[in-house]
Amino acid sequence: MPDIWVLINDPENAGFLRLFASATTWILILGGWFVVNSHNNDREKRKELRASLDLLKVDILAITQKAVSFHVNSYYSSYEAMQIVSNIKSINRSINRLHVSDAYKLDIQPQSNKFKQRISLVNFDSSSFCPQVYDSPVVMGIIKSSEDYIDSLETMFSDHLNSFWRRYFKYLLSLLGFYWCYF
Amino acid sequence: MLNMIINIAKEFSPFPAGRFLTDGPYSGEKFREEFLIPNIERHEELLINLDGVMGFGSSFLEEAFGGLVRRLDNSSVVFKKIKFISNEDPFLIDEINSYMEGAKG
Repeated sequence: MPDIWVLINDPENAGFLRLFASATTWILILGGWFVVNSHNNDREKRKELRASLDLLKVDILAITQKAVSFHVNSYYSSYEAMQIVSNIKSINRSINRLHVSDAYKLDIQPQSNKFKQRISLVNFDSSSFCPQVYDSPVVMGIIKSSEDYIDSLETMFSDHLNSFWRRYFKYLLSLLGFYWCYF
Repeated sequence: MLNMIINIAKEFSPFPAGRFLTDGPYSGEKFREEFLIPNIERHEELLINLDGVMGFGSSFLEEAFGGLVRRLDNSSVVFKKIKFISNEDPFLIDEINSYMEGAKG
């Protein structure tokens, strides 16, 4: 085995060593740019997701208010009933468009369905409608399910942020790419 | 015939609402009696397209699909024959399945 210092000091290897040093510099520059750019993109995506979730929370609270008002009204309103189911569908469509993996969306499915059921399964049709009081099980159930729904959205956001693979998988890939280019 | 596709928005109503016939002209009971029961007996597979409607109340879905399981003697046929398409609302199919499972008893 030749001594490494002999190889470095050999004038015949000077060209190769200059190329090696310059390649290292470029790889560090590109690697640094990649990491900073990834962090910036992540931060922007996080902001977008946060803004979408805040809008969803506002929509859920608005539907909750509308649904409570529907159930405590002294008369049945088919127009309000239709508006409520349409708004619920609109929320589900917004969730479908969120930039998170399907696994996270599946996590909030039970709370979403419970919220909808609390509003529109009982006392929602003209034949069964009976004006409710504010502390009735129907109204309290709607309020509780709305809180659970919002909480599940927050949990989804937090799980998404803390996902190990989402954060580090790209760095692992870039390290493998670096290794493949260099050696 | 082997398969049939039912597009609720086009063939029934884009505004389905209500549980029973007395609740309105496009109730879950009406959909079950006029679309689901006649077709499930005649076809091998029933593909139901849920997209395009304004929204479904849970009572409509429970009466249409949960009611279908309660109405038919052999409820396993329903699970085997009925399939759903829902590209707009990702949670709808799971909700319907929960009503069908609940009605099975």
